[in-house]
Amino acid sequence: MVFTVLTLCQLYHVLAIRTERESVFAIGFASNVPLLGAVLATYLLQLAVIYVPALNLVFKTEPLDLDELLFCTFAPSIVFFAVEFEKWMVRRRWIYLD
Amino acid sequence: MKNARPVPAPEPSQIVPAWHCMTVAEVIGAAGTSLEKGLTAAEAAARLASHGPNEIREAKRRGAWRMLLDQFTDFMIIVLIVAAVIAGAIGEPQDAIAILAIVVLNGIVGFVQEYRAERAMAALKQLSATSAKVVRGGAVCVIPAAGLVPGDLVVLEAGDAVPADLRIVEAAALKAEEAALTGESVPVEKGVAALADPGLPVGDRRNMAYKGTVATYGRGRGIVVATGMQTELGGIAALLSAEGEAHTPLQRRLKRFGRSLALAALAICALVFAFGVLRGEPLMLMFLTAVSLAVAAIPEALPAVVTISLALGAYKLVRKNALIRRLPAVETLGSVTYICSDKTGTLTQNRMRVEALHADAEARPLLLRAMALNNDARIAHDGGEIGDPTEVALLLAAGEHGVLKAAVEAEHPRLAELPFDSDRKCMTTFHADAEGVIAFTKGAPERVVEQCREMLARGAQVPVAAAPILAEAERMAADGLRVIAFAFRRWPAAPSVLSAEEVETRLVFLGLAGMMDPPRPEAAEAVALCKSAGITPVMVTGDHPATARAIAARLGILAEGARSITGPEMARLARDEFAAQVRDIRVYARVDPAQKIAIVEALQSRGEFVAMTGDGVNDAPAIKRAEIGIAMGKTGTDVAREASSMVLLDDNFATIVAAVREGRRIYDNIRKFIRFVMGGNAGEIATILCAPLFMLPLPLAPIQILWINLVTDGLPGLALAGERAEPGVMRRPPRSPSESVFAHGMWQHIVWVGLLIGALCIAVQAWAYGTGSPR
Repeated sequence: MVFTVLTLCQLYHVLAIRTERESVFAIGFASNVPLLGAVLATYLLQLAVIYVPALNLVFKTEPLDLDELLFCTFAPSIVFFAVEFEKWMVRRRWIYLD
Repeated sequence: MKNARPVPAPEPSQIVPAWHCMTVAEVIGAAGTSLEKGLTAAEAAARLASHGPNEIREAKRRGAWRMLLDQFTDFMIIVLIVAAVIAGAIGEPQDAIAILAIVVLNGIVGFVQEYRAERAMAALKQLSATSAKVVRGGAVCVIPAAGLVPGDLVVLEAGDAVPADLRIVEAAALKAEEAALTGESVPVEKGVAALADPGLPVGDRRNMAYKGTVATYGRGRGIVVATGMQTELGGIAALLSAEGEAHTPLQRRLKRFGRSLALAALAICALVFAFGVLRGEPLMLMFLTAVSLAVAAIPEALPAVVTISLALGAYKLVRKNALIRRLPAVETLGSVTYICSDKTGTLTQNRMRVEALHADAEARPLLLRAMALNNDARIAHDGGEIGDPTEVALLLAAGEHGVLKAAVEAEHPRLAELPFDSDRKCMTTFHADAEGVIAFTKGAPERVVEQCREMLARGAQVPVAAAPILAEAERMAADGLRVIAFAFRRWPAAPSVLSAEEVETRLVFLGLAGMMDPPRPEAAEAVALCKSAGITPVMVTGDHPATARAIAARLGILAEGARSITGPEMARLARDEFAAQVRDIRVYARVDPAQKIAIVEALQSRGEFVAMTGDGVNDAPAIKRAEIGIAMGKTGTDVAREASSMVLLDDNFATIVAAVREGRRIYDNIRKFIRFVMGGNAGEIATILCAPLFMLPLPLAPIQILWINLVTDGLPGLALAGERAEPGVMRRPPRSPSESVFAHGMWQHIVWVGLLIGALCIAVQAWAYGTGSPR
């Protein structure tokens, strides 16, 4: 689970840091299609690592049940919202004034 | 010093003295060429096959295999490979194989990236290759310099790079600057006469011009006597290639930073290793974990990522008409605070256009006819205009008002003319007319008005009022217009004696036409963009102050209260005085190219980061001195281009601004990549480091660490490079060149994101561990 959570954290992170100041939604969430594709592809690869038995052996993973998968998929979104909150504070000129 | 050279002539047995000792006739004989026709295309092709291309071989280029191999020579990667192999030998072979597979995959991804970047750079190099003017089969043609062969007859003009070693056979005040070979920066005058001493040093061979030097003055022709590695430059090329790979400032800083970070990461890994072993984890597993973590956490790839981003960015910029000649320019573009631009052709369209007509309403039709008839320019069959730019402008302006030259000339054929000369500043043409003959005169207002007795006002001929007309002309000139006056006179028949005194007098004033080279339509927007981006655009021109100011005001360069200065005024100021006010000056008029370097230096002394454009030989020092030297692709000389870090393929000011924007975007995206990778790595490290503190087992297997490093870092990270510019990219001030990449909250971001991810992972692990879930 930690493995999957860590991977998903990275994916949410990359989605959020596409902009330094503006909200990602201000430039359009889907404005970098290759990036969305890369994120989706990485997610599918991660699913393969978890659910394909041969890869389980190699990566020392075990299939997650549905609850766990949903948890692992959505809990890391906290990273995305945290970064958006950071940018919101930047726009308010509360932090990083250098 | 070698004096005898390989003989390019058909008979290799013939012994030839040094080229500079031969007369021109002997040289032609020995080189098997002709002074009128040069070589034939067939002969040139044959010689190219036997002599090879005219290129200086570079220090060994890295082959593809070498580049691939280099992906695995990083110290930590080698440690990892060795560790995996040992682990495989001891116990778990499939583990070792998986690790090796990931390492190989990682290497291949890196290789593909680097290979693309290398190809992009090679393509750019090709684009900036010099060309040569050569006489082949009797016609002058422009060919890539690499295609020159011994015996070719090369044409040199001021500003050209000498493309091969030449024996000069024709020189008109030809001078060459040979600092690249002799270290002597004063240009040497070249001649054709044979010299006596075969042992003369290169710098004294006045009838030779050498590859790598540049013609700075005059013109001439020379016969190629040596190409490629046979040239004097080729002989010392080995010494030149010691220059080595130039790193960009960002790369240097990242490399230094990477080293200290690597030490920290190694310390952390050692800690993880020690913790694990103390807690009784298997030694080999812990070692692999630690090494995997080290590989993942040490951003060894960052400098490479920077190169790749810059190279691909430079390649993209070509499509926006900016050819990057030095890679670091892409990065430093974002720091530019002043853009000093030429006016003509860069900010303006480089074609005259009639902007104002001043004439009595009733006189207007006749004025338009005068503009079309008293005109030696014409429209060619293909629709292009032929003739003096001023006359073309008048012709087009008449045409826009429905007076076409071809039509009115058929009606009023030209009977005689008194051509323009610069003393009179006038020209007169005589045309058949229903009432006999009409003569139109155009010229400088003061000259034409002086000869007018009457003028057309409300349809009648009244005595001329010279003062208001000249005042109007002056007002138009102050607006930056070039003013031309028109007048006419009726004759019963064309005068038999055509003299200015007889003919260009007792005229009737018709009107004034004011012309200017109008700004490029996109330039005003680019200027506004510069200003919002904290960049000050400045105009530097040899043109009149009035013209310069008018254009600058129209473009927004010269806003209220900003100053303009002329070259002579500037020359009277002391260096410090000038530097003290340089930041207030927006327009430099009547500037000598040699003064450009003083402008650059004064701005630099105030801490500004300067981009300077130029096209001529005299501009080269300023271009070289500026942080971003910009040469013109269409009108620029080789000398200017070679001094520059960027070439504008369309000579357009807006392209500079577009390049700055692109430079900022590329830099931003490099920052995003660093932010992403380092934030993720920090999370990974935090997780692995903190798990034992909470009495939890190792959260990640080595193979999982590598997987995250390759796949989750790699794929989205690559896509970040394609991120478009942020909306505010041209609304923020230029980045200080000394600013850290981690400025503006980036390191704080990395730390807290790392901690957040770490906390999340530990919490999940703790919860899973607590509930007894094995996963």
